[in-house]
Amino acid sequence: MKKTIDVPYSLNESKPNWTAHAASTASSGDGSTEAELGTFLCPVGLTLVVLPISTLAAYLSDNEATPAELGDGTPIRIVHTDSAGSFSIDRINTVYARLKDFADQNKMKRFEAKFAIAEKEKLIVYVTPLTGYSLKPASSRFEIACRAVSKLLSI
Amino acid sequence: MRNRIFHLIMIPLALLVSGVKGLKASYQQSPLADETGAVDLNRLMWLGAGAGSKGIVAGMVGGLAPQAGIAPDMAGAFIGFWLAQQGGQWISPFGEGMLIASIGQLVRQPIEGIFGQIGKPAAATPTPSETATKTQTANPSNDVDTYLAATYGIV
Repeated sequence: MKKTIDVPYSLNESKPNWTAHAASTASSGDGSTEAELGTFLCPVGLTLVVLPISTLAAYLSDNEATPAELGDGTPIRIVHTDSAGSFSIDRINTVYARLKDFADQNKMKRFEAKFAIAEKEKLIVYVTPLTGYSLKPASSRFEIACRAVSKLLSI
Repeated sequence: MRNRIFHLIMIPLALLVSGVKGLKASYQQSPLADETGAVDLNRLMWLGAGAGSKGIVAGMVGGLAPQAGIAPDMAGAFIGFWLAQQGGQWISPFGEGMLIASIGQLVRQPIEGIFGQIGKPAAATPTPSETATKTQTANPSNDVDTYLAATYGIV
């Protein structure tokens, strides 16, 4: 029987299984239409474990002529979908102001429950730009500090 | 266990013995068969009606007052016993039927338990080699699930 490896893992926009979504049109935000920041598709053989101590941070950039940070009140939703894409659960539903801190452990947003993202399941991040704003995923950053569980290679 | 079986058998028996005295009087009033040996169909019909109504009484007690802690069959037996003591052309055989059905139902389970053990072979104990084989052929994908359940309580 193979042994299991369980290590800290930083899920961010540079990971190979993260697909950033196309930028939304400048000034297209209406405060209610969601724009997709990107999707993480968990690869086969890997399971991510998100615990209540896992932190979440983000920097969101708009797609205007002069790029700027999105407003504090911009809603953010992180959705977890099953491998078939049939069922989904909102894992985070908050506003941007809660996610802005990348460094201070006392201020960083944490998940409220523990859950596992199994192989082929998705984590999709949705942002709702406020009226007159937009979203540019290519210039945005995010980080979820969680754990990765997978099988060790047999020797 | 032995005490329980003893009580389960003795309580209905005691009920029967004590009930016989009352029943005897009512039976003398309206015997099942007269001196010529002809069956009293009217009495037989009321006996059957009482036996059938035992299910209604037991169901009513079980449904209306489940928190009272009274076994529905016991309630049926008591009500049947009480009705049988009332006398009359149809009330008495009605109660007798109910009492007989209740007692029959009460003794069924312990008798079934006792006779169910007879002739049943003892459960085969798995040999150590069989157990070891089952453990070794665990599904690899289940290993991670087992690990997540044991380590993080994620199921």
